Amino acid sequence: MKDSIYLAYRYLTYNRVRSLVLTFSVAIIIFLPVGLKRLISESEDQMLARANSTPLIAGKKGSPTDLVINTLYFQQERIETLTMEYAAILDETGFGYSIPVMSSYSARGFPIVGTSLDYFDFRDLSPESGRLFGVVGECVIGSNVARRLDLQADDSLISSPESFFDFAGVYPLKMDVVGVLGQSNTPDDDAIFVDVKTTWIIMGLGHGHQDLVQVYDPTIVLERSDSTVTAGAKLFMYNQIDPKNIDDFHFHGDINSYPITSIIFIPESQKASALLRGRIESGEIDNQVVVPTLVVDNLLQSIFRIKQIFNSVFVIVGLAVSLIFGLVITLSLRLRKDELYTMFTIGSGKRKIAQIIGMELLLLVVTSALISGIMYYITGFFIDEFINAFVI
Amino acid sequence: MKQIFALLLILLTAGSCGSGVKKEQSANELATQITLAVTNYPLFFFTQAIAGDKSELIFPVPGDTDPAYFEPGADVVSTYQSAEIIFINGAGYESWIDKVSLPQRKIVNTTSKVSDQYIRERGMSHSHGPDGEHDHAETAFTTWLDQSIALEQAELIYETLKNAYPESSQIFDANFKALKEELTALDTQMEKAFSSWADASVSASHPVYQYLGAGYGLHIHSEHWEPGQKVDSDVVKAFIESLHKNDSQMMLWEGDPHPETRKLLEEADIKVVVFLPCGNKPGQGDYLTVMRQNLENLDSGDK
Repeated sequence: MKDSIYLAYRYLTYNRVRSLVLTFSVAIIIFLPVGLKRLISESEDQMLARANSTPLIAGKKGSPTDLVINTLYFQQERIETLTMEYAAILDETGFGYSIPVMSSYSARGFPIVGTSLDYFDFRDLSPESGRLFGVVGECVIGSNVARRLDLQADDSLISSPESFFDFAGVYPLKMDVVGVLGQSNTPDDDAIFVDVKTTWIIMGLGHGHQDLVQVYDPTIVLERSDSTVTAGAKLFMYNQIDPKNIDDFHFHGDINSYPITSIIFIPESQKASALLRGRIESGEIDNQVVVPTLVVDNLLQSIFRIKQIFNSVFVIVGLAVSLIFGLVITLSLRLRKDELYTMFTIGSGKRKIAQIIGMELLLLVVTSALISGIMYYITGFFIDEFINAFVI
Repeated sequence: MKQIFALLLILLTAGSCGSGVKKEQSANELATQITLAVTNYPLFFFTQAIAGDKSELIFPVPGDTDPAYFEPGADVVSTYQSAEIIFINGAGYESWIDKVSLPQRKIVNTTSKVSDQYIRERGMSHSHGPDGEHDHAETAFTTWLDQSIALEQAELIYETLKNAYPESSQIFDANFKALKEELTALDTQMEKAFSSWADASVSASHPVYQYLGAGYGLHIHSEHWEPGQKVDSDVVKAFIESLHKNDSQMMLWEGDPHPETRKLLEEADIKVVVFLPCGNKPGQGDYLTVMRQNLENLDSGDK
């Protein structure tokens, strides 16, 4: 037996290019379905975990999938907004409490998520360094944002303008980074969190400027009466909020009428959740409320369908590779006709020859399985990043 | 047999005593865990009176600052964020609240039930850019000077605490009952004290007595004179001339007026009454003693 293994090993190392090609082909064929299965099941677990930990999401009537994707994974699809007042309406039902979410803007490619401090308690997030935001204009960044943009507490970050060609539009806001959240392996790692009021300032609904009552520059003040001051476009608007100018920042109108993309609603109990859904579905309360688990489940059904297609492809590819493998072996046996005859003439029986060839195949398959095992193991280190980057 | 019964009785008694001590300890522990925050002194007083000494009460406004104009920095906001419940006055008192991040579900607006009684005052309008004209209308905020509103505020604090910490409800019940009696008595006394001034011309050194006026039927005209600072004599004289001669005159002050201003007013038969709004912690006494002193000042016509 030992001599058969030795001869098989020597043969494989002598024909190393052919052996390597065969080994890696088989390894990839073993790894792909297993690796994909892991990727899909981990994605499914992570997506479901995020959805399961979010009881209800309320938003404007429209696509529930877009609403959930925007709220849970901060994929900033253009969804219709509802007003902040709606959060108060839900709170007044007494069924639980609301967490507003405004996810429409970004900074250097990462989503800016406007919310309240309740979000951090709800998601069990805490700063690894620094603190949570305390005043408007401050932001807390996820661990991946900090790493990729090389930011830390006390740095600053500028919001991206909606359009580079809208010169008269909203000025970007320079935000102070006051904390970096600990790694959570969720989309929170890739988000920039601000108070929802800060997003309204980014939108231009709140702003800071010189006190018009005290400005007498005729190039700024166009008209002044006892009760009214009209200023021109020259009026200086602050693009950063600091202790010196924070008093000059203000919101126009009732902030309850300001937009938010969705509301995460935390009901007190299952019964409260059912009652609230009933009220909304009956039209007693406007807009829509969705159970994220159900929406994500539907989404996963699509992924399952893709998985089934992949599995079929792998079976076909596997069969093809097996055939090629068989062909390579048959051809190589034919090429090795003289070698096998020599072995036979020097006293090796047919059984021994079969054992040597069988051992060669076994070594190939075992090495391929080992390589695919190593690939599977290495995949585990990158799966969270892969899921966050390409799946969620 | 008797010995066995005696032993059982001893064990049961010891067990029940032990559990009693444990219950008492847990109640105390719960009470000491309460961390509450307030934004002005009347709320501090009401909350302390209802929650008792066992709660930790956060009121980070320095003693020499009017809480209505206090702008908390990020460190103070962090302190507020650590509270389990934040009682705010509402009615626009905390102008800074729209610029800070506090957990919404922890904030209790103590005047939310009387928001229909808010007194609005129009500010300067301005316009710039495409938003059109807008004004920063202000709401009068010294709500607690109307003792019936003060009682409503205290009652909301009581209800909130009772709902949040039902295990301490007996303490809250007893404390609120005592406070309610005090505030009701104060309300009656104020009603009585101001009843004779209902048709008179009442002025105020500052626009802070709107709710006092609305609650007790006073017609108050407000100036913007700082207590302790000398008001230009021509301004005082013009003010005196603007008053109706036949009315009995009174002017409420947030603090002692400058002696010369006082002299000019008193020479014109205007009764000077120091009526402290008590927005921040008084140097001496508490909310009730300050309000009683205000009434005494009203009776005596002087400080």
